[in-house]
Parts: sequence; structure tokens; C-alpha cells
Amino acid sequence: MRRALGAWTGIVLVALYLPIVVTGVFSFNDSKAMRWSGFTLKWYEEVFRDHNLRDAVTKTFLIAIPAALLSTVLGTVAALAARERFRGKKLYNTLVALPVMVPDIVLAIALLTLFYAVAVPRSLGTAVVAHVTFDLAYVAIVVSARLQGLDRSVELAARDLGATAWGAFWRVTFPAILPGILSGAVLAFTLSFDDFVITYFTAGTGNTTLPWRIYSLMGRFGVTPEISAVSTMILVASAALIVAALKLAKVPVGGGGR
Amino acid sequence: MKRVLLALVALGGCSQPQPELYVFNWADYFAPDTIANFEKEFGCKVKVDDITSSEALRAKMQLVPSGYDVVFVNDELMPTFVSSGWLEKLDPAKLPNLKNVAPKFRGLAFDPKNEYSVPYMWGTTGIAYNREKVSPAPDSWAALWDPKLSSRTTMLGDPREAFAAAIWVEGGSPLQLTLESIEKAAKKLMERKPLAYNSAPKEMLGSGDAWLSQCFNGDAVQAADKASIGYVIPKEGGTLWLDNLTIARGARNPGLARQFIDYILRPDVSAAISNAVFYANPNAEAEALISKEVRENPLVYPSEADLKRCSFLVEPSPEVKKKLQDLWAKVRAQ
Repeated sequence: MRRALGAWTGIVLVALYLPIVVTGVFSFNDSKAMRWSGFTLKWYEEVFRDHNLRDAVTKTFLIAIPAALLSTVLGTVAALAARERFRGKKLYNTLVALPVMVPDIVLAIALLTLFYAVAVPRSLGTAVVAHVTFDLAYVAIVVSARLQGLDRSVELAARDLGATAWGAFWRVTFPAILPGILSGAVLAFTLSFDDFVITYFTAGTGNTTLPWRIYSLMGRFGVTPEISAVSTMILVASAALIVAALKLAKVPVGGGGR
Repeated sequence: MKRVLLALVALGGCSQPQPELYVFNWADYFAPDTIANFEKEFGCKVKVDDITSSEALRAKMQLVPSGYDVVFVNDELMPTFVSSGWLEKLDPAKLPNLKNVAPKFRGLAFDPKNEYSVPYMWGTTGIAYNREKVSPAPDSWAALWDPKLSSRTTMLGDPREAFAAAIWVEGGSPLQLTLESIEKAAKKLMERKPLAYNSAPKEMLGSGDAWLSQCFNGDAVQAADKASIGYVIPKEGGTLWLDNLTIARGARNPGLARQFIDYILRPDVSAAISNAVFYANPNAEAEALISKEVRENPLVYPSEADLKRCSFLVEPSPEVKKKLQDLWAKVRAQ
């Protein structure tokens, strides 16, 4: 039984990671063909020389960072609000979580139509707003999960001992849910970073982002070693980000003291 | 300190902001220095966004103003773009270099007076094949119906091109589509085992998954990097395609857009683009400046004899177009 489970785990891991490994390997392949013909770093050099790609990376960050920050704040507040009792709470919860279920293309067209209807020219700003609409839902869900594991009596005890509502939040609640907030922020950033559909329709002109560029390069040239090189770099960077987030998330309850 | 700051602000206010030009083009469809040279010469900033697909291009241009100045539109999309009013008139008088364009690429059916469009690059639709697997080379569209190769064959996922191939096999001409001829062609298409329709089979050709593909010559060029690929214009005929430079309706900077289009029409600029992107050039004056590698590449420039058999597809009548779409849905659903 154990052995079977182990083998199955192995198969799943291979299925998950083999494509990624292959992409990484071919980014160092000397030839454009899908046959190994020697080690090279030339594709990475080309990626760094390509100023269009550099611009695309900048634009991607200009959208993903503000969108992640804004949606983290709003999503956390939304999750906190969901703890209280009020009328229409069920509807509220559904509405907050809905963008997770709505297909990207539907959300993209809806936002584009809205911006057009109210005559807001599309720009990086509208793209950030668009991203916040779906990032927020993910942050709210992640933070809510964390809040559910938090015993409310701890906060009440803080209030009993003389903390203000604000003080109790910052000294008790916030440190306790910080890991959730951080993972929500990382999730929001990652979602924004690789979003293509919504960005394409809401970012206006002159704002080609990295996924947008990769998508159009693949449309014209197929999978090229340069694209493999970019993908490998994104992969390494996001892995580093996730490891950092996990490390950060180990903040002890009660905060400080480290 | 305050005074310095004020002076700086004043300076910033005085200097004219650099004019900006927004271009919507397919990824890496310029030479590496095309944009930089234009920016230097005209003292402006050019921002290029990548078109991802014809459908996505349409979706974006539908909302006027799209925010773009110069947009690349192929011959198939041109009738829609013109009739929908998504384009600004060009004013040929302001394009002195328009005369460089070879006469056969001027005044085409979709824009008889070149009021809206200027040719950029052209190519053909034919059959690409894997030279190691398919021998002898195919010479007829009938090859796409060869049962021995059916699992290795792809056709374009574009009704006009797929029907053109079928009509040619049936001995007709796709240039005058009739309700009758497309009905017959649909039957012919249904004869084939259900198989891959792929609008850009370069990956499949390159990896060896496809051995025989109806495709644009550009895809054959890309696939040839990865496998030994031959490309033929079948004996019945092939189609021509043409990408065009246009100015989007509501462009912020139509004057600069015209200067940009005229700049692209310069022989040296145009030839440099062909040399970089491996596409055939409609600019007669640029011809001599195009490298041998491109000029003598059979995947890029068909021979004179082959070219004689190629023509642009014509926009069908609304009635035929509607029927074509219905039949296409049936073909794809089988």
C-alpha cells in the first residue's frame, strides 16, 4: 500500500514538474530544434538585450504591484467585515467571491464596456482597477480562512483588559492573520503578474505586459528558446517569492519580539 | 533651493512634450532598429503594442477611438475595417513614397484607391511538408485528402482558405464563390476524416507531428528552423495575403502617423524590415536592397511561375458569406 502510494506520488510529481524541467532544459539548448545540441546561454543574453521584453516586464510590475497592494488592503477589510453580523451577509459573501468564478474573458469585456461607456480612457490605472476586482476576491477568501481559525475570545479578552478596538486589532487580530494577508498578497501579485486577458482589454495603449508579449510572440513564432528562457526566469523568481512569503508568514502570534 | 525648484518646474513647463505615436503591430514585425531610427529622426516617442490575433485586433478596434494611431490590418480584415468606419483616410498626396509600391500591390479590391491602406508585407498560402517524411513533394491540393497521410495532415482553421483548397480540388475557382460551389466544397471537406484544423501549424510541423499542412508561408519559415520543411504552391493555385499599414479612426496624431507610414515606405527602411522578418516586400524600390538569403528563399518568395497561379481571395457577397459560415460550422462539427 505504502509503496503504491509512493509510486503514485512520484507519478503525480513527474506530471506536474516534468514540463517545467523540460522548458528549463531547452532554454539552454544551442539549437532551436527540440533536440539537445549543446549548452548555451545565448537565449538568456537575447532576452536581456530585448528592450521590448524589458518594457513589458516594467509594465507588468506597474500593474501587478499596485493591484496586489490595493487588493490586499481591500480584501482584508472585506474579510474582516464578513465576520460581523448584518443584513444581506450571504449576498455580500457571494458578491465578494463571485469574480473567482466569473471567466476572465467575461470580466474583461464587462470592464472594457464599462470604461468605454463612462468614457474613461484605458490606461495602466484602469488595468490596476480591473485587476483589483478579481485579486480582491482571492485575498478575501484566503484571509477569511485564516480568520475562521482565530478564536474571537482572544480579541474579546484584549478588549476586557482595556485595549481599544483599534489597539486590539493591531496587537491581536492583525498579527494572527498576518500570514493569511501575506499569502493573499503573494497570490494577488502572482495572479496579476500572469493575467493576459483582462490586461489586454483594459490596459489601453502602449502598455504591452509580459504575458501579453509572450502570447503574441508564441502566436508568431511558436515556442522559441527565448520564450523558454523567459519562462524559466519567471519560474525561478516566483519560486523565490513563494519561499520568501512562506518564511515571512512564520510571524509568531502577538507580533514583534524577533 | 525654492528658486531652483521653481526654475526646474518652469523649464519642464516650457519644453514641448515629445509627440507620441501608438502603433499596433504583430510581435517583432519590424527590423530591430526601425522604431529607434524613426524616433531619432522625427523627435518623437513610438509605443508599439503586440497584436495577438485577428479576433483580438477586431475587438480592440471596435471601440473608436482605440487609442492607436497606426494599425496593421490584413487583406481579409480590410473590408470590415473600411465598412465599419474604423479607419482614417490616408491622403495619398501626403505619402510621396507611395510611388515605391509595385503597381500590382496598389489599388487592390479592398481599397481600390489606397485611400485607407498602404501595403506592408505579403506572402502566400500553400502546402508545407516535411521533406524527410513526404516524398515526392505534393503538387496538388488533393494531397490534403491523401488517406495515407490523414493523421499527419492539417488544414487552416479559416473557412475561406479551407474552402478554397476544397474548391480547387473539385476543379473550380475560389475567386467566384457561389452557393453551389461552396455546398460542393463543404461535401468535399466532410469527406476527410475529422482531423486537425490549425491556423498556425508551425509548432506541429516543427516537432514532426504534422507532415503536410495548408499554411501561410511565414509558418513554413518558422517551422524550417526546427525541421526540414519544403513549401509548394499547388498546381491548381494558391492564395496571396497582404498586411497593410492603416491609420485608426480617431488617431491622436494622424500627422505623425502619415509620416511614419511614409517612412516605412522608404526603400532602405522597408528592405531592412524584410531582411529581419523574412517576409516578401511589395516595395519595388526596396527589392534590390533585400538580402539574398531572403530574396532567394523559396519559402519567402515564390518563383515567377508559382506566383502567376496565386491570387487574393475576394470578399464574398453577404449571402454567400452567411452560407459559408453555416457550412463551416457543419464541417467543424462533424
